[in-house]
Amino acid sequence: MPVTDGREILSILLDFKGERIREYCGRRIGEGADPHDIFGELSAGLEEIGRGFEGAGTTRYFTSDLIVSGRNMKRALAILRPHFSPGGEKSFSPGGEKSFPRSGRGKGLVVLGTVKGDVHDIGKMIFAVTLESNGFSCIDLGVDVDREVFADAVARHRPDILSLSALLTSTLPAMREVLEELERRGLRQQVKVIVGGHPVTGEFAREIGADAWGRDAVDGLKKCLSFTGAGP
Amino acid sequence: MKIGILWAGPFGEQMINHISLAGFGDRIVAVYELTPEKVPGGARPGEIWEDPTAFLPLDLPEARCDLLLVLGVQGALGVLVPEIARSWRARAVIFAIDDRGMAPDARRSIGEDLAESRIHAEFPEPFCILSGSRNDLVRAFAEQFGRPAFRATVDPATRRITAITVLRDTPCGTASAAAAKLQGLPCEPDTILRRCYEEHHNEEAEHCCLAEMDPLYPVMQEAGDLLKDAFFSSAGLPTTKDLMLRTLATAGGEMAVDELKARVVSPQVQWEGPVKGCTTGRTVDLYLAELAEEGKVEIAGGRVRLRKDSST
Repeated sequence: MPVTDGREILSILLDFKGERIREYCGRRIGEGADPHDIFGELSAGLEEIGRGFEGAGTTRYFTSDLIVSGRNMKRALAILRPHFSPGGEKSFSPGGEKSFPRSGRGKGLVVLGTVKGDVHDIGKMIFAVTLESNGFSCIDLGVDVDREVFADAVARHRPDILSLSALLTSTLPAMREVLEELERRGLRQQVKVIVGGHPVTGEFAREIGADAWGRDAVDGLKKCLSFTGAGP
Repeated sequence: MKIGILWAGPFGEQMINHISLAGFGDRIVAVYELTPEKVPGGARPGEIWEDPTAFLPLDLPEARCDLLLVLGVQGALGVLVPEIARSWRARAVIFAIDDRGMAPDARRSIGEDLAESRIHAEFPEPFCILSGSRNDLVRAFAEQFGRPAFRATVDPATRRITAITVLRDTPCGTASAAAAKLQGLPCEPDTILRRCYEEHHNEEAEHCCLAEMDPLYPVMQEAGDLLKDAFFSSAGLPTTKDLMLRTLATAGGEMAVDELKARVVSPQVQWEGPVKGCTTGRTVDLYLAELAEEGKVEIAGGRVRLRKDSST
């Protein structure tokens, strides 16, 4: 059970200096809390900030809130990762943001990135950690990624899944361009493509020819498991 | 000069931290976090407009300042600013807008309301565009913080940057942070461009730009352009303005504004290859307005023309 209420979590995530997130994670770990639960609490907070940024939440959030909360989530992950138990469904793999291919593909290899024109990291980061914690290997291309870079990564790493993220409505066309680039280079049939992010809808995913839409990290995980035959 | 600050969120915190540590700490006499939760009764915007005085936060401290800074406050609460400015006896207000959500719903009305109380108001968008003012208080602040400005020393033999003095820092501190990273680097465009944008856009850095970056409202990109051009100018490298004037001259002295933008704007930061001046059309609009004010160009009917008596 969470011991910290939602408002407190939001306040911790929005702390500019990042001292409170370190204190919070350290304290919860010290109290014996499951690091996955701590991660879940923080992820819920991030999603609330994301909704507020899109104008759908109870509070209006700015770009600065997204950046700082994302920065704090990375600080939290740095503290939490060593406490994730190795192996098993609930484990988190070592490695981190912008890491690169670790040995083995686990349940599947996923290449992730935020599309061109969009430098938001949070949703992608949560998804990557969720995938890794469930046995996938991830290659994170980062943010503001060119369509050519996505296609190059597909050609080079031959991933099972390509995950495209966007937070800005205005950068949705860049998702379509990535799929067009894959088609143009004859790579489309060798990889499943999943799209996600606050402005993305299932209808949009179908319209641009993606294989799936991840409503959130958990939904995206289910889709990825089904792609690789590892799902229920 | 006594400074009062209304703030909210990480944006406000970042600005306060930097302004305080960069030499203005002893001038700050009041700091109040203004958030919707502080407004009595959870008023809707329409209700606030009817009588702002009824919605002033109950825990608003008593203070007396000369200059009031509004940093990161939600635009819908902007209507409270005139009342607070009057309460704190401010004579000038700087209402920073680095995000559409920070833009007050009725900027003009707020400005007029303040003007009726003989309070000068400015709404820099983004904050780091501030470079001067006809108001003494705003000008004094803008001498220290606002549009970045540097003095660079380049070794003529090695063409390396040997020293950079920050003449005016950005309110967030990116300018001084980036300057520190540029010292010792080769004075050539690609290197400076890369280091500049890397520092400015680096979300991991304490002083990174936190402004909105949506392509539909690219103020972060504009802020990055201003930083890059300030460095280029100080190092004697061609700035976006130089490129705009040169582009106009080679096109016979006149062209459509949109065409000029197509030639000098690259939405992607380019480290190498054909020279592009800046990353957003907002920057071109700003520079065109400045060039027009400087008497170097004329703008009419969506076209820009070099003035015959101007020197490029």
